[in-house]
Amino acid sequence: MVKIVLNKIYFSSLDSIGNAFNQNSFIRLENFLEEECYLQLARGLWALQGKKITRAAKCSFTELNCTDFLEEFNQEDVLKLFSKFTKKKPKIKDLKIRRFGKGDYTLIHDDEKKKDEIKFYFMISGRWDSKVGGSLTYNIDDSQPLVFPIAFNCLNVITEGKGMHPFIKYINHHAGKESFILIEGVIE
Amino acid sequence: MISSRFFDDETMKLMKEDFLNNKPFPHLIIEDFLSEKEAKILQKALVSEEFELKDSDLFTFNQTQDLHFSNNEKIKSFVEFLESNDFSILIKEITGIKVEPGALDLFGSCYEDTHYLLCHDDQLEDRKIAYILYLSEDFEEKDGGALALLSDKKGEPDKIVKRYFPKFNSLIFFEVSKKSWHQVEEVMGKKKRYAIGGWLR
Repeated sequence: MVKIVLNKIYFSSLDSIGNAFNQNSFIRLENFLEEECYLQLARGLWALQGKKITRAAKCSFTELNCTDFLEEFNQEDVLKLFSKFTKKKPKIKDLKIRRFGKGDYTLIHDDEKKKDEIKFYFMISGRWDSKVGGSLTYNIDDSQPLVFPIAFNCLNVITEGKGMHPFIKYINHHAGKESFILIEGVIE
Repeated sequence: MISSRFFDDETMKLMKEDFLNNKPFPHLIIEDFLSEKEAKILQKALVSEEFELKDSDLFTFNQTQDLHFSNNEKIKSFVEFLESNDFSILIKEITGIKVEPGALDLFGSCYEDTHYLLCHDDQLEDRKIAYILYLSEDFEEKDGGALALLSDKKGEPDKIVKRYFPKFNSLIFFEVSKKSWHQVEEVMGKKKRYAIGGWLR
């Protein structure tokens, strides 16, 4: 298991992060983990084998086995941060780890959310040009889309509610052999 | 606009058979649909239309306004042809599906490098037939941009069964159903994939 070490900047400003999240219902924390910790975590994830999931009218990506990584996000420092979003002792569930490369995407689901959920998305990548696609995008009823470009070592937390429809933008051929990993979960 | 060859009994019989028997769902491709001269005039008219980028989870491509509102005489003439009794009779003869003369949607599209349209079935309201007339230079495998038709398995798209690379002045049409799964594969390179297409109702 990798010992999770948050970037010192964030660790010392948990309250203001919580306030910013409560104000906007989302927050994006770049360079989230301390560098060596991130590199160690990334090495472990890149080495994972996975299963290609292709359902043409819904999605295309590689699903990685996440059993061993649940503990990473159940560590004290992460839970301390997450408690600022939930305002109570948090629990992480529905963890998914997916790798996206050329030709991969997810499409908007038809099923409507029954209640608000706080979701987190942690991005692991090299240098990623957003022009090739891959961005985590929310179509929001009666509003401009909310876009989270892929960036390495970047945590995004968002309250997903009714009228918000997330998808991963199709990754075009200019991505070449590049790919990124997205760790996704629900903070309850 | 329609060549007299389409009204030859033997040709009509072959087209009907092909339409019904083609897999993975009923469809037909007709090459050299218009005369070459007319096709080139129409191509020039389409390229001069204003296109707007359309971008969503499902697609990225450029599209014109509804071509019913075009001011271009050549486009108007083509719209009239598609709305004519002759065309709806041709469609009925080939497909067995009655479409209302004049009841159609049509737009111009232009796919450039990285543009695409992911898998879907086109089912909406009273759409009966989807059609597309290619007005770009011919595309090859390396250019991408193929119209891929997929089989259905338990209500979801399964495997690619047919792939058509855009060929100038070819018309493709298919019956819209819950099994008419299709996609436009990503265009790769400098060629622009122009077409006029839409649905008959």
